[in-house]
Amino acid sequence: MNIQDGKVLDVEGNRDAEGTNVCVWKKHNGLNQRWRVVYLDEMKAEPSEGLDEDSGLYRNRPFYMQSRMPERRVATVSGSNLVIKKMVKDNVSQLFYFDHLTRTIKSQQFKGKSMDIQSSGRGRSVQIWNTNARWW
Amino acid sequence: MKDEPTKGQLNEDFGFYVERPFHIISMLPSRRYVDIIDRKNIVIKTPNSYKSQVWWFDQKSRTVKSQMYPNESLDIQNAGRNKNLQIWKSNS
Repeated sequence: MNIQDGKVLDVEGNRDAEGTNVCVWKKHNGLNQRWRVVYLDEMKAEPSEGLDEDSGLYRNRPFYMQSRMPERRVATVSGSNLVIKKMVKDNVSQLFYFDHLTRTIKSQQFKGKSMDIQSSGRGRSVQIWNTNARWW
Repeated sequence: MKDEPTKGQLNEDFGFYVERPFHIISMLPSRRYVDIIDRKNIVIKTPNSYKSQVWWFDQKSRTVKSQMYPNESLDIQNAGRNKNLQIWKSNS
């Protein structure tokens, strides 16, 4: 709380979306004005390897996503799009891993990007996009 | 006169531990973290393990500082007359 005027930190417009501005606003006790201060030395360290039981994926362990169609092609990053192509061993555009910090599937080729449903989940196409949200 | 709290001790007036790094987490459903974008603007973002999401309380300036920019503090624009938050050179 600002001691000069009593205003508090506020997520602007009560909009729970990536990159929403934080401002100060008159206190009204809404959820968008509630915060937790979590000290880093108190945070439960999440293991960086091993099975993540929530997702069923191993943390930071590269994998292919192989179609069960007869040719057994694998998901491949092509531009920002995901397509299926013949598997080429160790081709980073075909390797993915589960990132436990963001709880997303990331591309080995573009580590700042994750599997993402276009149009903020309203589209049907899957792409590789800047990591901006968790999947659950 | 009471001694000032030192590193690791609680500043009871502000409710922060001195120089002990922390995240500020929104209680909106996605639990995003307060972060810095475009060098100075304050927003909420998905946890990303970058220093731009880490803050600490500085006893000397009585401000909340950014671990990414240690000489700058959380600040309300226009000397508190605006509603927008930013990080700015520690000046108060």
